[in-house]
Amino acid sequence: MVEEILRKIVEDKDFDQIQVSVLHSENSLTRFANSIIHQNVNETHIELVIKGVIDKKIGNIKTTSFKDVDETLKKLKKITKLQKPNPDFKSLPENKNHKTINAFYKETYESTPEERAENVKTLVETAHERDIESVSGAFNTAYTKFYIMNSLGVDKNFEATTASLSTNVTSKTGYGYADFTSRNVKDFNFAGLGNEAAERCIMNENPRSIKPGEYEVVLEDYAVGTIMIYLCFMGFSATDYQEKRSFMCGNIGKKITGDVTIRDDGLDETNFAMPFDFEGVPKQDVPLINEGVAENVVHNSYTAGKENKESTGHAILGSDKPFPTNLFFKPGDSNKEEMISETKKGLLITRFHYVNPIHRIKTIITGMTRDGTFLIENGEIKYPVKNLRFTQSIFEALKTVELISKETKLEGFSWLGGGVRTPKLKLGKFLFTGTTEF
Amino acid sequence: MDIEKILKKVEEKADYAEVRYEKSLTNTLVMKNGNIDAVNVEQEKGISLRVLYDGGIGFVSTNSSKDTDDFIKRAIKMAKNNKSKVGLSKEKAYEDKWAVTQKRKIEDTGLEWKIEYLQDLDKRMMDTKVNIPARIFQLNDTLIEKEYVNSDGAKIMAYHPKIGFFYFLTVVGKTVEQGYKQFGYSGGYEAFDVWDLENVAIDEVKGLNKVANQGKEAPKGKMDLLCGPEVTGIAAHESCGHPTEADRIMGRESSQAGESFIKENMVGQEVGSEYVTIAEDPTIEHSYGYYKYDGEGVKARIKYLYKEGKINEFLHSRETAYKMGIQSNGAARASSYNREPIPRMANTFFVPGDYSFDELIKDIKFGIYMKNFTEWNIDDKRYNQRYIGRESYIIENGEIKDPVKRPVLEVTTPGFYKAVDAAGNDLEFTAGSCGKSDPMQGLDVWMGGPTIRLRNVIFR
Repeated sequence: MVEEILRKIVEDKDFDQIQVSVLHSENSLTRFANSIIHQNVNETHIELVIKGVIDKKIGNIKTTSFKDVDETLKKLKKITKLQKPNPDFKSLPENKNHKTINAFYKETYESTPEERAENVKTLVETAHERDIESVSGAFNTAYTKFYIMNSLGVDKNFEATTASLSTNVTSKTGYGYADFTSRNVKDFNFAGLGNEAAERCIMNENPRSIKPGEYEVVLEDYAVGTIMIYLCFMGFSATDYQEKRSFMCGNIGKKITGDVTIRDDGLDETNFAMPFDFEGVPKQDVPLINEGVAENVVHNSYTAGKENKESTGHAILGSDKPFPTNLFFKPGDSNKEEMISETKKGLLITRFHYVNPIHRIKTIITGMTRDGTFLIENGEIKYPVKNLRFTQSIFEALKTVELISKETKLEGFSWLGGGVRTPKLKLGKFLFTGTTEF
Repeated sequence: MDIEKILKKVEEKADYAEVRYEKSLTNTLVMKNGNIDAVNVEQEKGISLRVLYDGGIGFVSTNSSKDTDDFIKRAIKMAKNNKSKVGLSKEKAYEDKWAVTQKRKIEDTGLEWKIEYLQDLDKRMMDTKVNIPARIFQLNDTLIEKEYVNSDGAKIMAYHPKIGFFYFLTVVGKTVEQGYKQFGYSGGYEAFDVWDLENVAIDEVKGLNKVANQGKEAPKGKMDLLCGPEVTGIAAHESCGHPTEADRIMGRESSQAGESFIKENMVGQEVGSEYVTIAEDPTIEHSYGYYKYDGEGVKARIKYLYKEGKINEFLHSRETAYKMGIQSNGAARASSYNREPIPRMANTFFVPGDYSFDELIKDIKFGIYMKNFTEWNIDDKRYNQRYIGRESYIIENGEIKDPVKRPVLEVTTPGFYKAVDAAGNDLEFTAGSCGKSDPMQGLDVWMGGPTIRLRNVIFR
């Protein structure tokens, strides 16, 4: 039924080229606070996105109605013709074979509110085995089916499931956090997550004040995940690069960090792999920073056409800006214990909160630590400390990378259906510019 | 699906039910350096159902299902698996229709006119001869139709046209400076005149150019501060509006947006000087956050969150009001039909005083005038915050002197408000997009205030 409508659209001869996609999503969310479930939400959503090209003029329309497709196409023609020709537009992508990816898990698709409630109960009860006050969080399961067709022969669809859970545990003066995400709900250890967050909360009780300044840091994977996502926002997209707003500008081929390797591999199933992007272009492995050297930004067909290149398969639905969604920070051979033992005077950071970019070209971001910050002295955790504000260039920090863990963790950024697989890091210098009262 | 039919069917099965229908049409125009970058049209419509069953709330939404029975069944199932025992405050059920009026109707404004207007704005900026290599404009207009019914007997229909605009400018002088400003209005394209867009944008260009070419290093240490309305507004939003959201106070947002330094029993407690009164008023006509009834059918009214330096009132939904044993004050908003209404801001502002700008500045011996901000940041309890000036100047002996680059104010919420010793009479609003909750809900808001004077705050 959906395919029939889409085929009819791509056969519209009034456009030189036309592309249509449909995203069908079913999201269920169970939220809990004060150790009790307080919100259960279920959403079914379908949207149709059409891009039309006439004489290099490009128009886009998005609708949730499948009833008035003829009317929608008429409107699209009108807005497309009103545009000026875009000389940078080369072509929508042609059809290319893609690899098969297994991203659909029946267990996730069929999970019920009763099962989510039971899982949350396990987590909450486990956390309460320790002397804590309350547990909060959100547990989400989602199904998406994506169709993409264009007038050049692309005709593909793909279905996927995701599940994600984050939890905060609080006691009188302590805060703890844990999260997990996977395509398969069977991969979750609910008791383990409750235990991790509660243990961190207890460790973090009665935090003391310390002076802001430059410290060595051991960053948990949660914190590294946030840094990676902000790096993406500040410059791994070809749009930012072409508009000279990216930190990669003028740096391709140059060493910009310590020996770290960051890549985007859409086919690696240890992350949220997809066989092709939202234009139907097959996914591939793209090195972004290789052993500290800036190598590539990611492209969709438009940004690639502008530079006479091939798309790297990073088109995003409903956006003209390509974006990496399957990031990997290459692991090392260390572990958290070694990182702590190698720290003379530093901080163990669980996660960052309310992060904002200050200077995109210099990759300077600011934000607060949250849910567990600890002082390390002479290789040992001494005591929890009150949250600190940091203001730090990511690249400058990554120039001081000393240890990288072997173990990695998947952190999601759900609004794009993407993920970051990240290790823990030990960095030599990280600047904290302020403190708070808790 | 017909919302009244759904309500009729579900009424027998649930203790309480409400059904919301929303249809919207949004046109977006993006212009980069005078060239059209994108023209998008988005049409959206759907229905949601929220039920209260044995103390549990269930919420479902769809834009495609036609099976009413299944829709209701899913909502009840969600409610049954909700383990908290909640209630909703008892509120008057209104039957009403409201609409925002337009002078220059969105429906009658063609794309050609919008393109011409923005290209002219771009040209006027370039005519200043300031080097502005990157000029990004985004214009959105939206027509929203809403219908709301609940089992208490409320029936409300609304028609809400809205315009949103932002510019993002990069000015290159001796250094590179960037400026971003958002505008919002409920109504039609008379918005451009109301905003005085051309003059504001050209002032922005000139101000950024001054900082880029003449900006000195910002002084550090203890000094007085004049916050322009834009800075006063963001502070009111971040460190008064958010921490007075009742769901944050009750811990319901602790895993998402965060908590609050304010606790339930802190009403009446001092948070600022006597010159500090911050209001939240959704009823300001043509404001970006305007509504006559909130997302639960409760009539909107002004609320004084901080009053004369004391914590005064929280932002409530029916659920949080019930928990505190009071009436809702009509602050429940949802970003669309597919999101649950929760306590939110609409138009938050520092209530102006009597001082003129000259009176505010005249006895400052040494300080900073932070006209607007380039960046802000605040912790999850809304206590420790940081504002960095965009167009800022040194004040010496009651006069504005050299522009300074990026002065950094790091301060606590009481530290900020207790330092206020005077408020100006120049109330202005800026538009913003406020994000909260999971699933994320982005909402249109205004935030504002007058120029305010702070004594002896520390710049880092």
